[in-house]
Amino acid sequence: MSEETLKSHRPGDEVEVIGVRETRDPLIARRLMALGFVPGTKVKVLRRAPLGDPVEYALRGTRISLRGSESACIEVRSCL
Amino acid sequence: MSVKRIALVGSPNCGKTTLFNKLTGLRQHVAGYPGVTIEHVTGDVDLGDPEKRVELLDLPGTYSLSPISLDEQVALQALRGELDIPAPDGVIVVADATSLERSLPFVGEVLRQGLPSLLVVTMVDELKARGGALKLDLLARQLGVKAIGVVGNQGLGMDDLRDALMQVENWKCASKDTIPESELDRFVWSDELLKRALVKPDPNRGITDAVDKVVLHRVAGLVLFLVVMFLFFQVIFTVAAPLQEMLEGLVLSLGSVVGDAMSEGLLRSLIVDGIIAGVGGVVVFVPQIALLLLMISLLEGSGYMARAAFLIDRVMGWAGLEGRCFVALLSSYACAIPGIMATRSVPDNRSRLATIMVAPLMTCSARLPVYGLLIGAFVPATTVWGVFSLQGLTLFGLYLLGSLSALLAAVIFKRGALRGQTYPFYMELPPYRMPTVQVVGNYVWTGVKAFMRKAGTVILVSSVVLWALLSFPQVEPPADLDEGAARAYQIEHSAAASVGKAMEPVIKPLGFDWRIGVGLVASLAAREVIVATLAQLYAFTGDEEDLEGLGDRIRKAKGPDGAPAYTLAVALSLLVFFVYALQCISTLAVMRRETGSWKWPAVAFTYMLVLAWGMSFLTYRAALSFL
Repeated sequence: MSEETLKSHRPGDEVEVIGVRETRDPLIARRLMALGFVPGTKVKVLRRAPLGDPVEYALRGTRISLRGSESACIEVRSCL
Repeated sequence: MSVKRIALVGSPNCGKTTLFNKLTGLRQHVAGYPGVTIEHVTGDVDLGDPEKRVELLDLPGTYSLSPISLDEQVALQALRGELDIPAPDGVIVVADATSLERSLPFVGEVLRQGLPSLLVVTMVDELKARGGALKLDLLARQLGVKAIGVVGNQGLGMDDLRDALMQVENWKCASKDTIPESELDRFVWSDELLKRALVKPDPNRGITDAVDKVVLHRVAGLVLFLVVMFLFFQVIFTVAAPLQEMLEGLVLSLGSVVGDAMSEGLLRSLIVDGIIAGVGGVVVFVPQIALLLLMISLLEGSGYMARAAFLIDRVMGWAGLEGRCFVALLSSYACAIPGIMATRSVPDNRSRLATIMVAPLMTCSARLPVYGLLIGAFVPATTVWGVFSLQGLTLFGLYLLGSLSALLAAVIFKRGALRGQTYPFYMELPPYRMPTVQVVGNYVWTGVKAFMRKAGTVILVSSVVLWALLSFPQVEPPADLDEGAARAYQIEHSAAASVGKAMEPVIKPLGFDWRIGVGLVASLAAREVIVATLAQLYAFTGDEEDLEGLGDRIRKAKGPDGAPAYTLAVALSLLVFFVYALQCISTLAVMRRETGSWKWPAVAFTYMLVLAWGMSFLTYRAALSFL
């Protein structure tokens, strides 16, 4: 079981989504999926805000920014 | 005549609002859903055919039909006809051609609702510019509904869209069998479909990405952010100010023209001193409000607002809010009214409400005449450390006090009265786009219209009530008094003075006497009214703009025991009172409109009044001890 989440990745990293944890809140998980964070999706970490949070991600032709508390729910695996 | 009701659905930033505005123009109105405090916007489409009426229902932009908030739930219920209004006759799903990879599953979800549907794909020009291509016919065939490509802000494809709206009865319903039910399956289905129908655009967003390298840069981005904020204010004070002065001049002229044309008496006083002065005093703020709404709309429409929210989100988070609340608070430095209106962009209802509750604490421009008068009259014109003007520092201190109090109040609201389920933060950063004239124009017009309606109704009533309080009971002033002194005499024996005198025990601990009490009562409607009221109370017949002259008069005013009625301590106490008290009926009225009831305006008024009294008391006591 992979413990790697999107939160742990830094700008420049490219990852693939494994799934979204429902443990924190099923509503948050549902919304993250609707935003495109579904298994198999390639996500690129673009940049952090000046104060560290939120972080901008590129996926499915869009740019979405998430705070650490949300990106910690997304399980990923690195692409090399 | 046939009336068709069509719902408009789509994700945020997909160009749905542009479409709605292009189709309905100024024929929009806001209505409430029965039984809930959430509003919806509907508009009539001009199809050039008097026999066919199409009413568009603009549902809020959303990423999915699975609601995570009350607003989204209400939207879904409206789509299904589960509220007391019937289900729409059809639905238009709007999707951005450049982000179909993300939005096509949502399109599928909407089509699965089984309503007669039409797919409108926007930004097809952008897709092409980025090397992408879309087989719209293939997509339409696979989805089982008609699809139209448009370029919203250029009006391309709008004729096809209007033609389609003429024939809603021919719209097809998508088959539930072709579109998967589960969200994850829908993404798989969508990816498969797009492999055949879409040539993906270059992920590099050209100008947008290049600009973002600077705009979102850790250092350059923040600097630029501060510059933009600074310019925001510069525009307000250099463009709106002359306009405002012009309007003030017009109101004064109107007052004197009417005054000269009428004979001396109660009616003339009512019209000139009550209605014209009262309503006019609020209407002069229209240029400022319009300008603020214009700038907010331009920042939002261009895409910069999302960048600003991204940069400042962490700081907003410390106050329990989020990045998008920033523009509301920033705007409130000039006027809380457009700021409160701007909170509609905040998806989390609790954060939105908290922002509305604290926005009036930000130092708005209506406080400046009061600050100017009191600081100018009582704070010594000396310098601190040879460089900083003490008066300037005091002003800055007041701004700081208001701002920090607002953030602290937001934290307290979010943890207390507004505590609840945490709403996730997610925000899309769309490509930079040219704001659409219709969307911006409509935003400004709707806002100004709403403000003027409030000014028209609420302020008119309160202006007349105030005038009556100051003018009754009528007394005959001694014959040897001049006009200014006579007016002062009248006020001293008016109902308002009785209220002021009755209030005195409550405000005495703050260092205020009954005359200031009258001023406070008068300024409940609008803050800057206290300047004019004090002028009248002290028989100051000079120009209202002559704050120095008025300040002089006030400084020399004596209390009942012969000692000065005003000291630095009293001035500071009064200043702090104005930092906190919600003395603006227009703001209360707009709060009511934005929150759907009088409950929240009442809460805001009360907590701020209590804060004003408490902080004013502390200030007065501290000033007495240390000064």
